[in-house]
Amino acid sequence: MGTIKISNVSKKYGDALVIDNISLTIEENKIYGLLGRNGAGKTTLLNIINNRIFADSGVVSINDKNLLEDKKGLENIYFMTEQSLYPQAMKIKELFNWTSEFYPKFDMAYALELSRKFELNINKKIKELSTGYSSICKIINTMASGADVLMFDEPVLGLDANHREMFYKELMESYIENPKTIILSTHIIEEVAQLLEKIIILKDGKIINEDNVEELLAKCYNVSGLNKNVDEYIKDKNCISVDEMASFKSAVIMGQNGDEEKEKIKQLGLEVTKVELQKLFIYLTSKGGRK
Amino acid sequence: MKSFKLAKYNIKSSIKSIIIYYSIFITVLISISILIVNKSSGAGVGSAGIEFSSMIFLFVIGLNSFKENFYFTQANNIPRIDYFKSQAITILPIALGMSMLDVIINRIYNIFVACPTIYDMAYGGSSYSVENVEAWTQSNSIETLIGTVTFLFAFYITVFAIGLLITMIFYKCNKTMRIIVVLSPLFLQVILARIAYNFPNVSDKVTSFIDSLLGISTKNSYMSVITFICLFIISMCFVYMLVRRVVVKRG
Repeated sequence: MGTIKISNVSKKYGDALVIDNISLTIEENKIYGLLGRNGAGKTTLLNIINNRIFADSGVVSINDKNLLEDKKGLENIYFMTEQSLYPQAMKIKELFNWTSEFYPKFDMAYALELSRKFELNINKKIKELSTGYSSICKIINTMASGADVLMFDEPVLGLDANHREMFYKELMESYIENPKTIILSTHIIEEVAQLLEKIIILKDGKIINEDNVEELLAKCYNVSGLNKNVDEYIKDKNCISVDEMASFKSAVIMGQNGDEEKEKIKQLGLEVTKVELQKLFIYLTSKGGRK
Repeated sequence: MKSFKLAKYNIKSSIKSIIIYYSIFITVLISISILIVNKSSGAGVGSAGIEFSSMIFLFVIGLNSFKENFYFTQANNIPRIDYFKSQAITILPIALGMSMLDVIINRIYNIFVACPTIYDMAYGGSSYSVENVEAWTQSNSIETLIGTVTFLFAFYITVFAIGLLITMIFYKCNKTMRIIVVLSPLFLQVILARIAYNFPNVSDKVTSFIDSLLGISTKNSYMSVITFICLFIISMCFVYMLVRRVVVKRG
């Protein structure tokens, strides 16, 4: 499939700059998390990549071929949107059949197996589905499409905890069996954190972070302990968040946990733990966060 | 290749509407035939140009064939050019099939009720009048049959393309523009009426020009076929220009 390259892409809606000169490379066979607060530009970016809307400036290319000129560029991408684009009167089994016409690698057996696991009645019409089952239908169609790049925009909308868990499990199994590029745009960071290899964080239409999850999380650490000891430790540190509960405090520190820090932590009797991706995300995308 | 698959999808999704339309159409014609045949005073009763209903039907099909189909192509990441091609491919067999079916229905209907087609009225040898229905006889020569089918085919693809174009203009426009588009035929009619009133010469020339384009005076139906095909091509060119930059609307 190759890499997807986004170069200097901008998009305005009226006076609002939704995507601000974004450049990005999406590597082959990696799982990406596209994160950002509401209105950060995630869906717009995915829509631009898929030619569903047009950028005001910049280029999106796959294997150095401009997507606007290369007709076949999008053949190997399946983009599941929050908005339903399927004909409402169509039955789910018909939808699978038609998708297999447009995606020759569509795996019907897999689609039926997933439908059984998710208890999706394929004889139902799309308009008869609840929000959750509508998401399930789109998830199954996307996963069975056989495309080399799968993009999910808010895939777990309306899904209960069991179905969400099942989706993550199936996605991981499918990825292990058949590596592909996956982009997950979601607000439920805690749940997908385990799946992601790389994350792209958008804020006000700009990329504020594009890193490996492990590398990003290694750049910070969490210390917890008695209030006064934590206060003592963080006074000369770049502390990005503090949680307090009675006489205990927990703080996230941006920076390396080197030998000197470790010694001090030991002296103060603090405990060090890994930072949660969600906490880091909140810091990075909050008002005072990194720009 | 994808445009053919998409055309297959378009045709399959239109088949149900076409079957329903013809069921109603044939039922109405049978009812009229029974009423007229059973009535002793039915002699001298006739109808004409029943293909107009097929024209209206195809215009509505054109109006309805944009949003849902376009969104479905976008869901499958199919390029806009393939969507455009599929629309052009879709209408050809549908229009051809319907024009042939309409001629067959018309010929059967004519056994019971005198009913000239638009082609018969505009290009047929003997003239039809409501006052003297029985004097009119329909020609079933190969020339007439082919002429009727080609005329209807060209007519049908044109109304479909115009329907598609109108719905796309509406999709692209904001509310103000939509109102302007809706009111524009009215303004156009007023302006044309003023021109006809103030400049009768211009009006005569325009009428004569339209007559020539449709080949009515010369009884040449192929002139109208060429004109309709040109109109179809022009409409589809506008459709192509619009479809190149059309986007999925949010919500």
